[in-house]
Amino acid sequence: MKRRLAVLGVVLLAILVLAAGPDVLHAHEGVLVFRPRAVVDDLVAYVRGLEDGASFTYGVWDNRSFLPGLGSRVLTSYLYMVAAGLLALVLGPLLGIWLTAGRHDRATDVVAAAGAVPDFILALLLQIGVVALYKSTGFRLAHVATIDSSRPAILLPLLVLTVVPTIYLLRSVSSRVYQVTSEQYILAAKARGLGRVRIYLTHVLPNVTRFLSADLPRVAGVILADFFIVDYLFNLHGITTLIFFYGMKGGYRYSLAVNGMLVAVALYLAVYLALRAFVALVESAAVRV
Amino acid sequence: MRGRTKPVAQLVVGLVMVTMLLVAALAGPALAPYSEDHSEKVVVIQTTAGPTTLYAPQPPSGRHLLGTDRWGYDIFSLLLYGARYTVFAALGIALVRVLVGGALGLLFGMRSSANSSGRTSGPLGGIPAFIVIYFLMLGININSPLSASALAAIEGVLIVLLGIPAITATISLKTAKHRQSQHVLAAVALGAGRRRIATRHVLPLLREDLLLLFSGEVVLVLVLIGQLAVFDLFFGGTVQSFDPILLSSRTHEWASMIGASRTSIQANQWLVLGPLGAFLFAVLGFQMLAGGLERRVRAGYARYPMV
Repeated sequence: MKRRLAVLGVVLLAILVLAAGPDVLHAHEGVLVFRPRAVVDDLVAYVRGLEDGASFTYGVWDNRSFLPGLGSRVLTSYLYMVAAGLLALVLGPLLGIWLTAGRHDRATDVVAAAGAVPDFILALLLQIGVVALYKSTGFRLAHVATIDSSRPAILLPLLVLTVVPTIYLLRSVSSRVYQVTSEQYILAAKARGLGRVRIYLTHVLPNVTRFLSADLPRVAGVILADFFIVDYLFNLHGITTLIFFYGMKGGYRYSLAVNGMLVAVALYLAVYLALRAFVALVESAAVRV
Repeated sequence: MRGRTKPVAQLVVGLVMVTMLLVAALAGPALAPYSEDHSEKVVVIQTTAGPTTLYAPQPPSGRHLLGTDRWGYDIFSLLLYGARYTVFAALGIALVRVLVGGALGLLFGMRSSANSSGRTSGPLGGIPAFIVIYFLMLGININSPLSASALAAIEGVLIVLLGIPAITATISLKTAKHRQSQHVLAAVALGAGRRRIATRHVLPLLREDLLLLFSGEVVLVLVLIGQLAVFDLFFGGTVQSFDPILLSSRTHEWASMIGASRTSIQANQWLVLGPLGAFLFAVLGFQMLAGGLERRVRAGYARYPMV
């Protein structure tokens, strides 16, 4: 517990310092300005703003509070991420075991190549593909972006969000299966006359799933990083625009970036806990069977 | 042996693709059909039906293989001019990452006690790298007074720094493991010093690991540059014009050309398709090379499933 609090403290400090980056180092009227003191200034202004509420507005030209819309942004982000995480937790290990156990080498190569395609390229290719399909056939497969809350883009963003963690888990499980199946005790089991299915169920699987929980922090991290890109490109109205506000309106706002990143950390923890609960549930069900 | 031919095929395809990338990077400006500042905002061409006026952006045609951008520049030529930034940045940054991270890893691995478990990059390693670089580059990258090469150098150094901890941890762990192997213990018993152990006994064992790390890092660096470009931070500087707000890249680095045109998914799709294809070609080329190398190395001492 103490260690976890320390980790959280370090992350918090990193966020507070990092968000001051654009104020510490920036170009002003053609001259490069380096002002380390801006970290302290930003921090003091942020703490003061917490009292009078200035730290909870969009700032610059827009003094609206962002709190009223925050709930829906967080919920939207959470649902996309947990849905992608659960899909990845089901698909990744299944595909990983199937590909390795079945020696589907060609399929493994295809998956490896697909895994190399960066998330933003995949997102753009899907958007362009859907538009091209619509233009040529008039068939609208999916929304290429969220227009308003009644017409959200779901299929494409979820697809992109699921692919990356799925392939990560698939690789992790696949290499674990490969490693376990080459152990001596598998050979011993085989020598005792056990069947292939039996060996997989009693010797391989338990040794593979044990490591799944250890992978979860990485999986949650991968999904979060992916979500920023997907949220931005598909205009999902999640939390990303709070952090990367600059590109939208011009002008940089420290408090907005800090708040956005703090929300992101909370979301990361919430997604991680949801995934862990799912794995625990499946494991306890498996024990009973 | 099963699969003996396939890894070679993957390696060959990867090598061919990377060679093409290197040619584009080295000879790009010489190969480009148009010069970097040749712009056709409005052009009148003679056709069989008489003179026709063409406005930018022009769709792909015989005159412009991948079309022209909003300002009338030939996209194929711009890609050839920008190739050196994409290719050399990825290679250079990955190389420095592996050299510095590898040296530090060797150093730490030689000093750490034998059974200390490997240090991971810690909780900060969980923060996505592009966010860290985003906040450090945001203030200086857009309409910057700095030169394109200065901005590229700053971004390059940041990408190097963020990648070092992971490589150091990996190499340090492997070093500590190699120090336990019989031949090293024998050398220690014979009185070899730490430096000799590091250079003569451990380093040769690490050479393959470093090569694999390098080829993998090239892909990671490309993706990172691309992610930053999605958030409008282009490698070598973003030029932003107002009324209307339009972004363009100073260097024509491929990911930044994607970033500048990423909103063209409904209309004028060729604006983004050309850069997208080029960048994907680069990522897949380096990925094939990395994958092929890894298979080739692993095949040397593979363990095979018993069932």
